[in-house]
Amino acid sequence: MKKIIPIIIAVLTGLTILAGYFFQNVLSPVLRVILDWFVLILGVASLIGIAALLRLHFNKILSSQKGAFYSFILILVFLLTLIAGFVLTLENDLFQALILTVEIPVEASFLSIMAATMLYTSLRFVRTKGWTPMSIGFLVSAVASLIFNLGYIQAKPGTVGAALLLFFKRLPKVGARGILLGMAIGGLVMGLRLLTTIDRPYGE
Amino acid sequence: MAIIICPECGAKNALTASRCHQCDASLVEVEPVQPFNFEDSGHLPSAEEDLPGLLNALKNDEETQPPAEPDEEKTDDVDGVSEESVLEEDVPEWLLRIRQRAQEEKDALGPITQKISAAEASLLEENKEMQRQNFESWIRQIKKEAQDDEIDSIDAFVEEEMPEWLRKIRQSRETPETEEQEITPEDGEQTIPMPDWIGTRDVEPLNGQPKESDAEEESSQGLPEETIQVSTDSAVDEIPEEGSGVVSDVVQAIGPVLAVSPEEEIQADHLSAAIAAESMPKGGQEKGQKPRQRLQRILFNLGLILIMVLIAILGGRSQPSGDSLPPQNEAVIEWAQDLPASATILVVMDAQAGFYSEISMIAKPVFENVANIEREFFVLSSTPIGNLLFNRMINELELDTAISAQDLGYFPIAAYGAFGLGGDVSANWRIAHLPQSEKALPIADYDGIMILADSIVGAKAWVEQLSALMPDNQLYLFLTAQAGPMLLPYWDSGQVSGIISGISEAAGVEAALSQSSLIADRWQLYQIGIWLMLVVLIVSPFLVNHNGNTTKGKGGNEPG
Repeated sequence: MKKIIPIIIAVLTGLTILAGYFFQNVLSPVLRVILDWFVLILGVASLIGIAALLRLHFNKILSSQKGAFYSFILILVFLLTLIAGFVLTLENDLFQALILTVEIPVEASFLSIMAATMLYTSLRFVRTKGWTPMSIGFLVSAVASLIFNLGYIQAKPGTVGAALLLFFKRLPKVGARGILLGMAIGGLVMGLRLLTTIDRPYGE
Repeated sequence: MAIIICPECGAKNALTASRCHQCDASLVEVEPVQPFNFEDSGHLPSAEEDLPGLLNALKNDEETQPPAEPDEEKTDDVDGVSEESVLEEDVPEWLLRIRQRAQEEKDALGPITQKISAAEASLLEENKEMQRQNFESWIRQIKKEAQDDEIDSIDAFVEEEMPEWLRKIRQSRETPETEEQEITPEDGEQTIPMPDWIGTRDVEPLNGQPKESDAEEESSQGLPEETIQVSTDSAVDEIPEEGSGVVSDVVQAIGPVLAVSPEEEIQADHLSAAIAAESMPKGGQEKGQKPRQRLQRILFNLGLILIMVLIAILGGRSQPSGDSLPPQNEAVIEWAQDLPASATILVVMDAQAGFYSEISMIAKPVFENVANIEREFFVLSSTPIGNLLFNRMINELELDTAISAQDLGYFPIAAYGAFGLGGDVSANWRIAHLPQSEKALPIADYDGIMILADSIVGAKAWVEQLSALMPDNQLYLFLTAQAGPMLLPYWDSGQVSGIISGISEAAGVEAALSQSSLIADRWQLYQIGIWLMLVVLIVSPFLVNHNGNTTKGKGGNEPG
């Protein structure tokens, strides 16, 4: 019974959601309930995750491990944000400004570092692999994409140059379409495996 | 017949032998001796040169005679006349003098005698070592037998308690369990041999702790001190939870499932090579990074920044024209211009805060056209900060009058938000005793759905769900440059009605709508950055090659 109940719940939920695409009018109230439950469970899981994170950092501080100071900063800022959120509420302009003023620059800095790292990694890729067809192809495609993205190359409509330009601009689209098709087929197969209980990620 | 006694081990060798057959020591300078037998000879040797033969004969006699019983010695002692004293009476006077002198002066012994003594000591050590090895072999055999019995008992237990799923797994594997698990004789822990491509590391027992020696070895190799846990997808995940002892027994019995395809093997090889390359100390780091190289890098970076600033200040303004826009951009412009006065627009925020600057620049030209007090906006977020970003963007527009925007909340996963939005079409139809949502998503045919996204995953979920569940609504995508190319196929398929991606397209839209040149200025700076990136991409590999640092998989100086 312990094994069967999760299977029944998972399969029934999956089939109901799948049927919802075909019988929207009939199943929409049930789908809404399922959606509400999902959001509720996800919220509780988030709370558990926060508690686990806090516990981890508390233990780090108590045992004076390496990086305990950063754990202290994390807990302090977490508590300040929590209290400010409860006191000021999310609708408060000051609270919103506080969050955005911290989050936007921090994330933007992180992304800019990531861009530089990716540039360096691409060069490292060439250096590690040497001049192989793969590395040459990578460099050529990267350079070509950047040049096309600059917008300097224009061609008069109806000419051979325009056709060539269109061809080169469509190349990334072809690759993207292939990736999207692969993702869709993969998702379909995965869904079928879950519905037929071949895969049971929820355990027994 | 004369023989040669090895000075190292004391073994007897033929007269013609140049090396000892026992220990392979050189016998070139060793003088041959005659085998001596007390019984055959009627007299004792009188010269010191014959002493080795005498001692050798004595040694042979000791080996052939059985050891004296302790009781007999005790009896002799009790009688008051020891065996030694009896023998001393028969020993000639010259031998007694030699013994006495040897006891008093260590140097009195000749070199041959010393060598023979060393050989005897060596033989004694060898015998002890052989005895110890025999003992260890015996102990090892006993342990192995005990472990075999234990495994048999576990197998019998597992066979009795084995569920159907495990039986199927074992049948499908068709390999004997004894081949899948190795038990070290020393401590009995189970180690799982890994393929060569992972390295020379053994997988730690699933329920055990890593050995200290292994951790030390890893740290000495510069590898991270972590153990590889093999996730047995089809076995561990399905092991019943009741009784941790049963679980560990079953895991030990069935071993891990590690199916590796050739592609995965190649990928793992690349990964391990990359990790090894990263872990290797770089030349510059080893020598504390030469100041000259560091200075070169600083100058190079400063040069790049200087070029960028100079071009931005001194370069001419090349405003993008709004005449030759891509069709997906033109579709957005047409929609914004033809929108009815009292339209309802759903805005989906699927962008992180880090992309706010870019996404707001992309969407602002259109918002400036569609945002007015008569139109109603609904905002749905699939990022926690989505609604705040929307509010900031609207505030930055500096509209004369505030617009009506209703927050529909935050959905943690885009697919669920889209499914809830598209599937909720009949709120009046209720099921008894089921809880109902307090805050239902609006049921309406929107005049347009604007999706602001920074990644293909979120945007893809929204497009696929809404185009299937709400086919009558028009979807317009406002995407960052990284997400745009991947979502263009949805424009070709007709699932979306218009797309603007990246600042380059936003600058064109801005020019077409005849608004300010804020985005065009930013786009010019972006262009300079892209040019510099192109220079680095093209030049650096050749520079690195020229310096001879492009060895495969080896660390070297950083390019640039």
